[in-house]
Amino acid sequence: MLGGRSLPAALAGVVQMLAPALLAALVVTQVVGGDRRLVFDERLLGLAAAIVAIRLRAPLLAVVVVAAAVTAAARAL
Amino acid sequence: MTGSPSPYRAGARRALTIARAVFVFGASFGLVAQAAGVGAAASLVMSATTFAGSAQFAAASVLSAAGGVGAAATAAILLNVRYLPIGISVASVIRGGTLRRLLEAQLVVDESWAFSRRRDGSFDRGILIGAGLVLYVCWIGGTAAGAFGGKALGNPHSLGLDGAFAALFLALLVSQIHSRRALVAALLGGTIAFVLIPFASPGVPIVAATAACFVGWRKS
Repeated sequence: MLGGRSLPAALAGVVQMLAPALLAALVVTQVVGGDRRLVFDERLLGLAAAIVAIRLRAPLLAVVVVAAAVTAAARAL
Repeated sequence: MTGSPSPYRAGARRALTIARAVFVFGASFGLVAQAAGVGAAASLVMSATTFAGSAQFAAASVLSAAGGVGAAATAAILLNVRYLPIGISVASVIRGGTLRRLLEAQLVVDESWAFSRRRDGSFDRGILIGAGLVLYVCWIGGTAAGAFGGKALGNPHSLGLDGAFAALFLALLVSQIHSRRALVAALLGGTIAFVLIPFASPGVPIVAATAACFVGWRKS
């Protein structure tokens, strides 16, 4: 709504950094976020599995499925 | 134009990788809303107009905890405020008159935004729209399934879907880090969010973390 023109150079650099900053915040809130508190639970195991999968250059779908499976398995135990 | 594949299709295809998760996530929202006493029609309208999963969950959980409608609306708005910086950064890509911008803006959510971002930091409109459409359909379809369907789809908690979303954002983050500056922005953003979670209402840590983007400030 505010756009239509391209951004001045200095601002463009800032906007480019929005994605890394936001995504990192989303990772943190999704993995340890609770109701106004930090919750360390099975999601961390899921994230650890995701890190391994990413390191192994697994496709995105595999990373997501592995994380869900590990989280769910840890919960079931 | 000669036959390079349509970016809309490319975006749609990329979005399919998480389409099923979005569908189930939408279904779990429909279920939660049901439990909170929100009617099926209302939850569908909410999904159609909001398309912001965590905002809707926050609203539904406030309602089910017997919070007032005002508190629920505030929670939803706070969580949606995070789309303001995203909106600014894609604004240069969405063409057309104001109404069209509004409609296209509906499709801009975390995943489709991250899918469409190119290496140089600009956005591919076709991919953004294509991915957004697929996700939108899955989100609404999922909400409908949850609101009308009931327990057949299972509990998102026991399916580990919250872990899946953390993993998704991590994978997207890794694909976005092309420079040391980007790594710093990510570490700073993550730290800001981490520190604020115990002190701020849901959504605020994410919005505050966007301040980390100022590491990108370059004096020309």
